Amino acid sequence: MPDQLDSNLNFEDRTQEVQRSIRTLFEKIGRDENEITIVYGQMNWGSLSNSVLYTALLEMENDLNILSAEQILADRRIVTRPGSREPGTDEDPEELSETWVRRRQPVITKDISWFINNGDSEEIKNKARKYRERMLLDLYMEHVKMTGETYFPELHRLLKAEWDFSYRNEE
Amino acid sequence: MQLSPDPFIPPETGDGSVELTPLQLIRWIDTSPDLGYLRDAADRLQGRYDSTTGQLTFQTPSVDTVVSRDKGFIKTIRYFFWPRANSIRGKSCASQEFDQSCGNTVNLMAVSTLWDAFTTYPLIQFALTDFFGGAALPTAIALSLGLTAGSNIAGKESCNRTKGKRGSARSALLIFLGLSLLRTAFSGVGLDILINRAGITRGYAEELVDKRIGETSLRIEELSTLKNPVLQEFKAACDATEEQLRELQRNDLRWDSTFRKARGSFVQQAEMRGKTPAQIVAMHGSVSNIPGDCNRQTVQQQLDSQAATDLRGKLKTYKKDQDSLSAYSFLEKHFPEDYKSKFVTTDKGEVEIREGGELVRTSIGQFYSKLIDIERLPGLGFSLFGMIISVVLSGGSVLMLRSKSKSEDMQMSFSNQMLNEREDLLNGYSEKLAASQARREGQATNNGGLNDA
Repeated sequence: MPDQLDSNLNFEDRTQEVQRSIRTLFEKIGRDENEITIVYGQMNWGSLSNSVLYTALLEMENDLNILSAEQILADRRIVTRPGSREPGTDEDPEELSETWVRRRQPVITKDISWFINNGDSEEIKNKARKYRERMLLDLYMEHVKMTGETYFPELHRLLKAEWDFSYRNEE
Repeated sequence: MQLSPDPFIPPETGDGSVELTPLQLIRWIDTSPDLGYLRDAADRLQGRYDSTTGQLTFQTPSVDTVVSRDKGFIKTIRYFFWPRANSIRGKSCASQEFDQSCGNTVNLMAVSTLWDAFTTYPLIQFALTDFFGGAALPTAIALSLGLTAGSNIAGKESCNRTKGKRGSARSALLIFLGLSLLRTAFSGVGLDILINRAGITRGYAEELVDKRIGETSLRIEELSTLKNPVLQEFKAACDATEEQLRELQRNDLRWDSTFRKARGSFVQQAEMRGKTPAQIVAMHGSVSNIPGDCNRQTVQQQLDSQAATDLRGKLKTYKKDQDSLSAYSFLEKHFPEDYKSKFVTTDKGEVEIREGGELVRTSIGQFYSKLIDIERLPGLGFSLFGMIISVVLSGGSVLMLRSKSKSEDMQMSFSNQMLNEREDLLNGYSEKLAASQARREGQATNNGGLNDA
């Protein structure tokens, strides 16, 4: 199961265990429960899978601190160093960990909001944001064409001024 | 420079022109509660990043995103009976405040036409019962809803008073007014049928009893004052023959035959002498077969007198029973044919008027006779209340539609010039978006540089 989700998951859509764990964490660190959704969004926890977030929450409860999604993911990539203890004679020798760098998928397909929040670089984030704005404007133009709702105050004020100046008497 | 209280209205520049700020428009779209569906559609767009080439591509939104919002069979049907707020205005432009006031007008119109449909469908149902039988109820509902949809369409059309369409707008308003008046006029009757059918039936039976007693009184008067048309006919014939006889001399050859025409032969006179009128009629089969015009008059007069005496006795009984029996029992006892032909008893034992048309005619008569009689007016109860509601709703709808159609905002919304202006402005926003985004990026870079420094 991947560490990150294709699209952000709301707090309400998390499993009961995760929700409970977040509430416990807030209780332990003395934060108000009402702040959960704000912190959840700020820390970008929505992008993490349930298992990764749950494991991280347990660690946060122990450490009494709050980590962002990026910090959680970064911690998961830290390579465990070999232990210094010599294996004892009365137990199995401890296996030394091996360094493994996860192979990243060459192509990522996700929602535009994911790229805005989690893009690898500022350039990707900017490009996604600009594209979203362009599409939002295009959709809005289509919306106005279909409904005639020129609710945007600046737009309607300009239209009204034009009407008063040029067309009122004609009509 | 004057500060605008609205953050989305940029200040005007000195030469009167206004800077278009596409990013402010985007920010407004991002916060407007009504445009959530646009944000969802934009946020759902899929992006594809190829880390090997560094290429980032995105989907384009579906063309159906906006179009499909108000589509669907149920919505289409619903809009016939409860039109959209913006359906009475044009599609060129509209402010939020204007759309809210249009919504109020449309809601009042919809409530009015639906109330009229509810209050008049029983009238239509019973008017159709004689022709459609069991299908009368669904047909009446369909007709009522059809009239509702028609009224709503007329109401919507009445708002477009742009050049060249003023006549049709006026006609549409008149159609709306006509339909509303017609349905309002019968709304009280329809409600009366719906909630007071038993009372209407009882009233009808009482009317029938009064009618029959009245007819009996009239008949007695007619018979006792020698105004029976049959008697009048025999009398006229007798008078004419007697007149002819008076003009003839005894030695005239025509005297004998005229005398026989008036009185019959001496033999025939002898046969009838000493007999009762009934015996004379039995002897000749009918009054018109009795020989002698004046004999016929005499016998008919005696028969009428006898009939009047009989009817007086019956009338006495009727009046006594009218006070002691219910109208149904009275009719069943004295006029069983009427009772059988006009009424029917249901499985539940309730008496109902047999013909729907008769029920409608009776209920209209009863309702309006009470409506114009101030003493009986309270007897209408909820039906009168329902009719007053209909009058208020219909009147309010007509006034609001008329005032709305004459408002400047309405004219703007239908103006083709405003449509062109709107498209120009929106294109302006679209064209300037890239420049605004670039400027924002530049500012961000500068700020970053300054912070670094």
